[in-house]
Amino acid sequence: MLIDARTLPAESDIETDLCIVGSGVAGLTLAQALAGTGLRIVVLEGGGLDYDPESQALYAGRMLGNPAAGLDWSRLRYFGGTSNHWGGYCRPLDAIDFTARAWVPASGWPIDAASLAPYYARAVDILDIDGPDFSAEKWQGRFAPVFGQPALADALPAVVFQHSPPTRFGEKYRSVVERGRGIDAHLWANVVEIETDLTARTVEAVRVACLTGNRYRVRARWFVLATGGIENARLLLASNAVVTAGLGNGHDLVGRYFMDHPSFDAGTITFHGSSAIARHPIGSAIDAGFGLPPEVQAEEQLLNFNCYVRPATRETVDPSGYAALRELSRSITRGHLPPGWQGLVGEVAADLGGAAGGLWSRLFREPGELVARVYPEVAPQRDSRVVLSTERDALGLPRADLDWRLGELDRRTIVRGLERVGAGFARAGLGRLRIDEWLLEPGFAVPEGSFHHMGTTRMADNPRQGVVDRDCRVHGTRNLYIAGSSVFPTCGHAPPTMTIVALTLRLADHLRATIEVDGRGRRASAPAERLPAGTATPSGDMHGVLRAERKAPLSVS
Amino acid sequence: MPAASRRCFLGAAAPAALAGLAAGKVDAGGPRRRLTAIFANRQASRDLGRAVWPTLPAETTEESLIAALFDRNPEVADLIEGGAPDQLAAALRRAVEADFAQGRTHRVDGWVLSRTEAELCALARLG
Repeated sequence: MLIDARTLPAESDIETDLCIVGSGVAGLTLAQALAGTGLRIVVLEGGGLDYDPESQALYAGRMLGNPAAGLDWSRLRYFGGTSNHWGGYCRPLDAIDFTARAWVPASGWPIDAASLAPYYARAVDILDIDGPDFSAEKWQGRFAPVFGQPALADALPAVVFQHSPPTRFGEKYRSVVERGRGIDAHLWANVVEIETDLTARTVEAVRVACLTGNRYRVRARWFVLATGGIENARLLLASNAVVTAGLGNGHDLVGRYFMDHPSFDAGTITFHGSSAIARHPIGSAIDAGFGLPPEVQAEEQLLNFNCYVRPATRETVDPSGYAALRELSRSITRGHLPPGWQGLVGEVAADLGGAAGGLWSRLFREPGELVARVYPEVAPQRDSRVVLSTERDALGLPRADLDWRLGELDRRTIVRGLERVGAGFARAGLGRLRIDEWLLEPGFAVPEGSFHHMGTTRMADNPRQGVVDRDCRVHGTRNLYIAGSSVFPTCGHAPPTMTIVALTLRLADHLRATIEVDGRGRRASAPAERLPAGTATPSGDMHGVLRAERKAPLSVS
Repeated sequence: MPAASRRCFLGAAAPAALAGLAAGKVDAGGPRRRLTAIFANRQASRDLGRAVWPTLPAETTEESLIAALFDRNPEVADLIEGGAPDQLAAALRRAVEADFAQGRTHRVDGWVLSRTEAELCALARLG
């Protein structure tokens, strides 16, 4: 059921089994995976069913480091979350992305690619893509011929991406919520604090605030934060009533190791043949780029890397009519109409010139140059981080500021990856690459990221190295989990959405098993005594938490 | 020459120099002259060579460039004295290809050259 939180009784306590904070890709994947299990689920969404500027403004924050898309527009605060402007690129992480690489500090996941493979397979239906096979062999003929050139294949293997329609999670799963299979979604329900017992081991409730002034609590047996890589960290850091450094932050890791994928045009290839071979077939459900083989990454001590090439055009952005036509075409060739297709038809009609021009360029133009666009992995860095601002939002919550840092390994990967692309084209006799001038400056910044906010609650078995364990449970807590890309210890070059869905399905399995062990129907133990306002709280360090923990009765998780 | 105009200038020189590599022209003389004679467009290769020099270590000399090239490519060293120009050109083409295959690249104002190409252009700059 969809519930308008503004109409709920003020200062009430709502009880449920599982409380999911956030209704984006992770939140709704988890809710639909557990729908019909008999579990009572409450999903808390800060926005409504559509974009609302006042709600969106709660996301504003300052950019302190490398430039990136503004925090108030790189993500979306309404039902369906950031999937509402997702581009639809899908690809699992590569096996090497999960490994500890000696040349990449803080690399290595506690789980491997094989353990996630079954969940990637299940993610296919959720993301509405054609299957779990991303091999170049399977898709040969469906991407631009340049990527299958035998002369290039050894040095620059084709990396395949499937296009989701893209799935808008709010539209797709709204009916699951409305059918009332144990799921209530509260709209306009902003979580402003996570409340714990005195040990900070058990989360008892989250405090919810509406912009209209209404406030209430949701109590649950399990809580899952699924609000994205910025907001997950913000909520943990701001929930500091018991642990002053913030919940789950006993080792000063929450908010750190922020990563995003740089994505920008980085060079031009003077092409010797017809640049038409770099054109993707019309309506193809896939895209491809050039990757670096794992052995080259190891030999040259580089991060993972991907580079797209396309025929150069004068326009850096496609005309709106052509962009709409392309989205329609992609869906229709796959046998269905995309969500909001009427609007797309309207955009084509309103910009017929742009649609026709874009199509002509797409079909017939053969410029003598290709543009190389890089899309590299970045390394996790401790100083790249989300921090709480001194400014507060309309609900009184400290805003999140972002200090995104790039390191020399990131820059070397970009330049060296491009050199490898240039070498591949030169060796194959296809053309010569010239890297853009600004990339030759030491310490260059990248123009922007990809709206992929990752790493701020990283996963590790050792609580000194990660915020969550391999089950995505916050270290030191018994009932608080995190879903989404904030748990990625490293990010590969693949867009994060498919891995978010796979990890969330894995978390759903874990929660299902936990619920069975814990005994369905048993409610959470009575909340421990809360500290009166003004009472001194345990210190933020781990010792403070442990001292308090010894005094508390043990609870079974 | 300011960086910006040099970059603009090399936009024309680099493709011309690199497209003409290993054309196989005959030239008598020492190793440098025989090696650099293989450029179809000598002026373009000299222009590119001028941009290559500042990217090389300060102690680089004609001798050290030739020694490095021969060390990496014994086949070229064997052909430099008495080898047919076509054979030398073919050996250099293979050297360039091997550089690219093994990632031995050299960047000059953004252009990605093989190390052998960079050395040859630097030698061309000398005369």
